[in-house]
Amino acid sequence: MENGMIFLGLPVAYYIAMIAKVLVVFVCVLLTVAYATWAERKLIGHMQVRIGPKRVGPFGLLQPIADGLKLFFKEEIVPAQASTFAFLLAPLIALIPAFIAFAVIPFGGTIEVGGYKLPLQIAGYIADQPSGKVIDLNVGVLYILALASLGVYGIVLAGWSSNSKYSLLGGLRASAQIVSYELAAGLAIVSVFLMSGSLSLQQIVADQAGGVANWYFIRQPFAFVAFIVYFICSLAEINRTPFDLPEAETELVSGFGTEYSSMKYAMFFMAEYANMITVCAVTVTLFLGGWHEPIPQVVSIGGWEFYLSWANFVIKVYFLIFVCMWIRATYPRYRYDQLMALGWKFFLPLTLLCVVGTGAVVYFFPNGFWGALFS
Amino acid sequence: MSMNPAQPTTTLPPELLPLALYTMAALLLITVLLMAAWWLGAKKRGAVKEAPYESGVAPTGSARLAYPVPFYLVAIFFIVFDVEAAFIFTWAVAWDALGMAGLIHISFFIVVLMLGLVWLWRKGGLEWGPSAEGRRSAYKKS
Repeated sequence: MENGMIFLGLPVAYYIAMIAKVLVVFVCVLLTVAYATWAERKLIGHMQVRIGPKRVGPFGLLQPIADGLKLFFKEEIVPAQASTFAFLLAPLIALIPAFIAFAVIPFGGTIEVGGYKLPLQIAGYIADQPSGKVIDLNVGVLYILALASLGVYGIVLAGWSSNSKYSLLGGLRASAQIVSYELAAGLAIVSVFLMSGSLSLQQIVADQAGGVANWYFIRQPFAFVAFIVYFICSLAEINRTPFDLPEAETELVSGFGTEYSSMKYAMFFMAEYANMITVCAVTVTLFLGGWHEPIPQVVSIGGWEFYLSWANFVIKVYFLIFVCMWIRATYPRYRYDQLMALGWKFFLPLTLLCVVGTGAVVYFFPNGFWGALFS
Repeated sequence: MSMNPAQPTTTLPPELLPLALYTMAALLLITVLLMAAWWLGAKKRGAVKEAPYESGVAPTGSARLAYPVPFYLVAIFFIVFDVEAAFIFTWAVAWDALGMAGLIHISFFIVVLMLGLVWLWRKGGLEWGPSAEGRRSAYKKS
């Protein structure tokens, strides 16, 4: 590309590549949301010795599309005495943060388009082209924490505005549950800050390069505890089974979503799955080495590096999504007092200990914990 | 062929431009979905259909109930502990500059925080529903 048109100091090809990147990622996230529903039904079906969806298309692969189409043709009901504005706003507040939280996650290395390097991350760019150093949101982790806590407003508003008792109870439960577990999840991430010394996701991933031994989850014992706690607390924060009290269908019909129908119901559903993808992607980025391969490349595999970086990321994220579904098929739902006790009496003190422990280990073993232990 | 890319001169930080695009894509999709559902969906209204769902029983009274106190307590505890978490965050990104002194300070801070949690616990602020003894005594009476 010979210095084509320049727009705002950057070649037009850069903008085209950037827009393409944004659209490709968005479509991939959407497809993953749609097919996570299919995969979940299929997996849980097989785990319960059923078959799962199989009629629509080969292996039931068209099931998500059929479900979506069906929901388009359903009636949108706004209950009488509902607060209409809040009722319409709630699914938007639930879904939009769920989607855009993904934007700060680095899902691969860099690619070169028309001689211009682009990072495989939505909110990131490369100013200094020769070195290829990626600049991204320097508070990436805080951005994710902030958006994760925004989601609760959608659920609380949905519960309150529906003017239905089931919805109200679901919304109330959700609010208390989400804030309780957000605390423990946020404190578990402090271990990562201590090891990386940065809140930028690019730097957190870059620090974990060089094989599985450098991934944060096994850098030191406290980091492993933080990893487990973060993953479990995130499951509780996004209301996945075994913590799906807000929509416990055996007692609350559908919890905060009871009065919702048609596309607005689908939006809550999409938000749940988009949140699950984001949580898995964040866990991979913070603890499981991001897009780095588990075994450092010994031989050059010429030309395949480009595929390797994002394929690594996708495989790890899909594995964690599988774990979420596996947990759903395995564990029964918690009772409410058990749920709150687990968050406040177990995870919160544990994460506080973890913070002190990780801090002490990074201070006293600046050259790595395991190396100092076994030398 | 060697490009000499100019420094971006946009007023927006360049990493936020794709973020804004991504947000717009999400908003656009949601708008299209809602419009399509509104246009395609059935529209047959009725008083019964608009009544809140209560498993087939005619709803009585308003659903704008008072919130039980434990939920309010959890909200207060959350605010208290989340503010403390913000202090821990600030230490965590600068621990190497603060050194040993910082580590001792934050450990003391966390110990105080834990004492606060223990106090809450002993006061029964983290309990839900009747206490275990209450449940047992109710069972014995019946």
